[in-house]
Amino acid sequence: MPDQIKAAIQEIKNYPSAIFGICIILSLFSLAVYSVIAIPYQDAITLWRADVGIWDRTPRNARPAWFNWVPGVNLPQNISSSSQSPQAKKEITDLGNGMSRIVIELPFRFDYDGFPKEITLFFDAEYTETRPWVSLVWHTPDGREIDIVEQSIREQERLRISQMEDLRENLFGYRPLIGLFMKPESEPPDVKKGEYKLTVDGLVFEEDAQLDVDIVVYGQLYGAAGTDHRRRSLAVALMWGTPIALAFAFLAAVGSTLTTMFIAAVGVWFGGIIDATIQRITEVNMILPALPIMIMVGILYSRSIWVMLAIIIILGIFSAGIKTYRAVFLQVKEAPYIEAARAYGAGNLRILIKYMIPKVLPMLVPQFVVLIPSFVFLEATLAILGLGDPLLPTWGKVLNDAHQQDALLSGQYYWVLLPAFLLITTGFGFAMVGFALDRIFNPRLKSY
Amino acid sequence: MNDNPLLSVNNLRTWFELRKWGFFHAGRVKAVDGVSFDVEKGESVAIVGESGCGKSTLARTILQLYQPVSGAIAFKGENISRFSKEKLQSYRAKTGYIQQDPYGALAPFMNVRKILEEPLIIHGVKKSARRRRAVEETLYELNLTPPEEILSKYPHMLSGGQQQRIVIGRARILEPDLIVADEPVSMLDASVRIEILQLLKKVQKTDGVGLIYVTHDLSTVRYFSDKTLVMYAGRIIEQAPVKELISNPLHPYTKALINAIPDPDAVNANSLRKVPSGEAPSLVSPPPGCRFHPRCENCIEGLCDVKLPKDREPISGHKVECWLYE
Repeated sequence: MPDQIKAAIQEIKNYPSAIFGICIILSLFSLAVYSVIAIPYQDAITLWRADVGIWDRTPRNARPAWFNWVPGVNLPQNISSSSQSPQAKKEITDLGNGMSRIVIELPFRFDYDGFPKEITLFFDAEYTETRPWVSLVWHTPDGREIDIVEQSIREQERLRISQMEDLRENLFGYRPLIGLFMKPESEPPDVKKGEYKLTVDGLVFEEDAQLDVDIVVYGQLYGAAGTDHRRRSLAVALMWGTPIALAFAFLAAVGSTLTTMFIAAVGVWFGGIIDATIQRITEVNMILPALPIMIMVGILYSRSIWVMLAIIIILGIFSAGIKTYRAVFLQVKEAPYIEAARAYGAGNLRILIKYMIPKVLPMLVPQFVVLIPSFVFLEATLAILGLGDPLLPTWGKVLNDAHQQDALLSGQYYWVLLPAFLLITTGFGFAMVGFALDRIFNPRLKSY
Repeated sequence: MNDNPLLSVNNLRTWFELRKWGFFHAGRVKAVDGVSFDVEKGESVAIVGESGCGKSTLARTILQLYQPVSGAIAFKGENISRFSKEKLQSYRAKTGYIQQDPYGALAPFMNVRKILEEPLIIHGVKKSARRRRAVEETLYELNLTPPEEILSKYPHMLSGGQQQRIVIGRARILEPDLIVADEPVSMLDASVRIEILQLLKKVQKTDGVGLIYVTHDLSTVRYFSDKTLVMYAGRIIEQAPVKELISNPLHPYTKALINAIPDPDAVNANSLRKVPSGEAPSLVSPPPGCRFHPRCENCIEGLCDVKLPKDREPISGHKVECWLYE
C-alpha cells in the first residue's frame, strides 16, 4: 500500500492542475491552523457574538483595507489617536482648590480622498462627585479653529461628533463629517489633506480626578475583509470559517464514505439477513430528503454544527453509495484470492479489512476528495437558510448576514464575494486534486 | 502413528440449493453426489474429469470452503465437520490450496512479502524476523531469486509462472500435510506447465505432503503417479494407479477420455477419433441409473438406465463403478 501511495504521489506531479489544487488546499489548511492559533476558540465566539464594547472602534459596513490598492482609490482608513499615546500632548496645570486644568492635544494625519464614516470621542474620566468640564476645538491643517462643544462629561462619555448637527452653521452648512474635513468653499466638498488636531481643554474639580480621551475617525476601509452591519470584522468569520468548514466537511466525508463502504462490505460478505436489512434501510433512507430533515432538526431541536454533522453522517451512512460499493464488493467477494484467504484461515474481519476494502479503497480516494467541498457547500447552504451554528462564525453565516442586509443592493460586494470566493476556491482546489487522483487510481479513465 | 489415512472422504455429498424468486425451492445442483476415497500420507491423488463434473466443488468441500450436505471427511481419523473453531483453524494451517488462476489468487494490492506473510500472521507467527526467514526460504525453494527483488513486487509485475510459484509457496509456507491443487496449470502457458508440475512434484516429494491434483487434462496426470480418480457428473466412476488406468481403462468414459489425449503422430493426421456423443448431464436432474448411460456405447437397457452401479474392484487396486464388470 505505501508503494501505491508513493507511486500516486510521483504521478500527481504530472498534473499541473492537481499541483495547483494541492497548493490551494495547503494554503486553506495553513489559514485554518493560523486562525485557530491566532484567535482561540473562545475569543472567536465572543468576537462573533459582538459583546458590548468589543467592536466600538471599528466602522460599520467598511470595505476591506486593500481596496486602496486599486489605482486612483484613496479612501480613509480607520484612524484612532489616544491621549495616552506618545504623539498626543497632555498638560496638567494645578489651579488650586483641588482644581486642575488638563489640556490634551490629539493630532492625526488625514491624507485621503474620501470623508470618514463617523467621528467619535471616547472619554475616560475618573471623579467622585463633580463631573469634569471640557471644551473641544478642531484644528484644521489650514489653521482654522472650530469650536465643537463645551459640556460636562460622565465617566465613560462618548461624544459622537459626526452627529452634532448644530455644528453645520460653522461648517458651510455641511454636516460635521464633511464640514470638518473639507476645503473651505469647495463645491462639491473636497478633502483638505494634512495634519488635523483636536484639543480637549478640560477642567477637573477634584484632587484625584483624571481625564483621558481617545478619538476615533472611522474609515471607509477596515481590516483584511471589511466589516459588517454590526461593526464586526469579517476577517474573523472568514478566518475561523476555514477550520470549521474543513473539519466539518472532512468529518462528514469520513463518516459517510468510510462507514458506508465498511457497511456495504459487511453486507456483501455476510449476506443473507444482514445484507437484506442493510439494503432495505438504504432504500428507505434514499427516498428520505436530507435537507428538509436537517431544516426540521435545525428549527425544532438544535442548530449546532455538531448536531448537523451527526445528522449528515447518519443520513449519509445508508446513502446511495452503499449500492455502488455493494456492486463492486459483490465482484471482489468472488475473487479467488479471497477464497484462498479463507482456505488459509483468514477470519471474517480480516477478510473485510485486509482483503476486500483495500481493493475498493483506490476507487474511494478521489471520490472522498471530491466529496469534501460538497459538504463545505452543504454547511454554507444550511447557514444561508438561517440554520447556521448559533455561535460559530462560518462562511455561510457571513453570506446569510449579507443576504439579510441586502449587501448587494447597497453595493457591499465584498461582503458576498469574499466568502463566496473562499467557498469556490475550496471547491476548486479539492476538485482539481480529486479529478487527478481519479485518473491515477482508476487508470482506465485516463485519456491521452 | 495410527493406521488412519491422511484424508478419508466417505460418501460425500455437496449440493447447492436453487431458489426461485430468492426463496422458493427450485431444485438442487448435485455437484458432488456420493464420493468416497482415501489419501494416504505423502500420496498424490489426481482427480480427472471434464468441466462441470464437480471436481472443483469436491476440492473446495475438502478445504471446508463449502459445507457438505451429507457424508464425512476425516482428516487423520477426525471428522472435520465436527471441528471446533480452533481445530478448524489448525486444519486450515495443515491444508494448502493452489488455485487455477494465479493472478486472481494473489491479492493485487499486496506485494509478494505481504502475500506470503499473511498465512504466517494468521497462524500466529508473531516475530517478523521469523516470518521473513520463512518467506525467504520459500522463495529460494521456488527458485524465485533474488528474494529482495521479488519481495517488493506486486503480482502484476510477475509472469504467470512466477505468480503460480508464489501461489504454491503460499500453499506450503505453513508446512501443510495436504495440498489441494485445483487445475494449477490450466491457465499457464504450455512452456511453463511442465516446470510448475515438476516443482509441485518436487515440493510434494521433499515435504512428504499428500496432494490432491484436480485436472481435466489426463495427459498431465502422469506427473502424479500414485492414484487417479475419474469423476463424472458428481461421482467417482473409476479409481486406479495412473499407469494401470492409462494402460487398462475399464469404464467406457475413461476409455473415451484416454482416447481424447492428443497423440502427435503423423499417422493420425487424417483419422478422426470416436468421442462419446452428447453433453455432460445436468447436475440438477442427473439421469437415473448410471450417469453415463445416455452417452455410453455399451449401455445395457433395463439395467444401466435404472439402477446405479455398485463400486466393484475387478482388478486389485482398480475400482470401477460400471455394470459391465458385475
